[in-house]
Amino acid sequence: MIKILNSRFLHQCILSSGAVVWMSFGSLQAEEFLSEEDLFEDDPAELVIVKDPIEPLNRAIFQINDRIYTHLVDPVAELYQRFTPALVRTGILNFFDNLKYPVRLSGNLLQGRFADASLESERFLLNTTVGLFGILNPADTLGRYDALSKEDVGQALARWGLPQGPYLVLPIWGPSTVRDFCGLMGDRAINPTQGPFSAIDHWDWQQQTALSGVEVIARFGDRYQKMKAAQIDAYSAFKLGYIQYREAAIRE
Amino acid sequence: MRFLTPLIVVLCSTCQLLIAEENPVPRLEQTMNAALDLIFLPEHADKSQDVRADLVRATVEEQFDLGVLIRRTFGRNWQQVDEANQTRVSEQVKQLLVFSFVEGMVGKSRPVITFGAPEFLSSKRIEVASQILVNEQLYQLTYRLGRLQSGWQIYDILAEGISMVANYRQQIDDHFRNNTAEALVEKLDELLND
Repeated sequence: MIKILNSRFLHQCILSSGAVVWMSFGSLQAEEFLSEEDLFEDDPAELVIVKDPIEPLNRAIFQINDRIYTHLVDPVAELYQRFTPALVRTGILNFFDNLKYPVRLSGNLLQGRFADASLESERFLLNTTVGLFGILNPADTLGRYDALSKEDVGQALARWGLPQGPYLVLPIWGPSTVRDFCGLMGDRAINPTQGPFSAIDHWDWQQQTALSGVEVIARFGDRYQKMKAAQIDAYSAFKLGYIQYREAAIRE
Repeated sequence: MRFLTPLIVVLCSTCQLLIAEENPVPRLEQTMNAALDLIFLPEHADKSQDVRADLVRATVEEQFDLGVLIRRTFGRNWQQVDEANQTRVSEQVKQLLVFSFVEGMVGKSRPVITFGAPEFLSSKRIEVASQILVNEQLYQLTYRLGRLQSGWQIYDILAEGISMVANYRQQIDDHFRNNTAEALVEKLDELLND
């Protein structure tokens, strides 16, 4: 009997002390976990505020742009994609990307990023000479320029403290803000392939510019359609996506 | 002693589980690779996109609770949805996310994913940066994970700096400004049937 009692007593002791250890371990651990409030409430740090005072007009332009992309630009891009070898298309994209060097250089210089400006210049020289006027892209195989981000005048304006301003949807071009629109005008002024303020706008670049546009759309149009298909409200999705993308580019 | 042994075993295994959960990157990497296998391996080539999406979803849900991601996406709007619709909406959004992922891979070569080391934002939150090389294009994808009772769970995914949760939350906020939960269910149904 004593043996049995002892064994039961021992059993209970072990169980209750185990339960105590378990519970205290659990309560200690509970502090280490995220609570529902932590996880599901609004996090002010993650809140992205977008001023959109002309939303009805922006939505209307977004709808028109969407129809243009879907019914006009996409079919042209698809045909172009079908009849142009991938190698040629990559060469075209590289060529026009290389020509945007003055935009990236200015973006870096205006932000005082002299080391990046120097690297951009190196990259441009290498691609223009060894890469046959930028058709090939030997610089990107070296790894030396991987960390270079594509700077522009809009990012420089943000670094100078210019506020983002209201959100805009530009005809054909798509999402922008007042600050980025000013930056875009600056970019165009120094981009050798684009007017109306191009420094060398006497060059007849119109056809080439159209070709570069078609190439970009051929490459990214599919992604646009796929992204759009998964959105509850495509206008809101692209608005916030654009703002976040630009903020990330400015932070880089 | 008979009773002590299982207790020790349980305690030890719990501790082990918690220690193993310190770094969820291998689990994340394994899950993503398993999901990509289902899309790109030749043995799955004859399966329809819907079947592959279901398999991908099952693989992901074996390791991570997608409900956390959905619930966070809704934020305060979750209270505006009644219980029956909460389950339905949650199911619809899960389907939409997984189907978009599978659809997004159509016509592409298998992505090569490189995961970075986890960066602790706090003791309960980490960020895992990854680089995805697909069709010669490099993309940045960042996973945010929170330490929950159920282990590390994904609570946000950032593609090129764009937060999936913030993006969908904006859309849901905009929706609830003028619309009801029922209208959202209908909208999601439309998206899934398109």
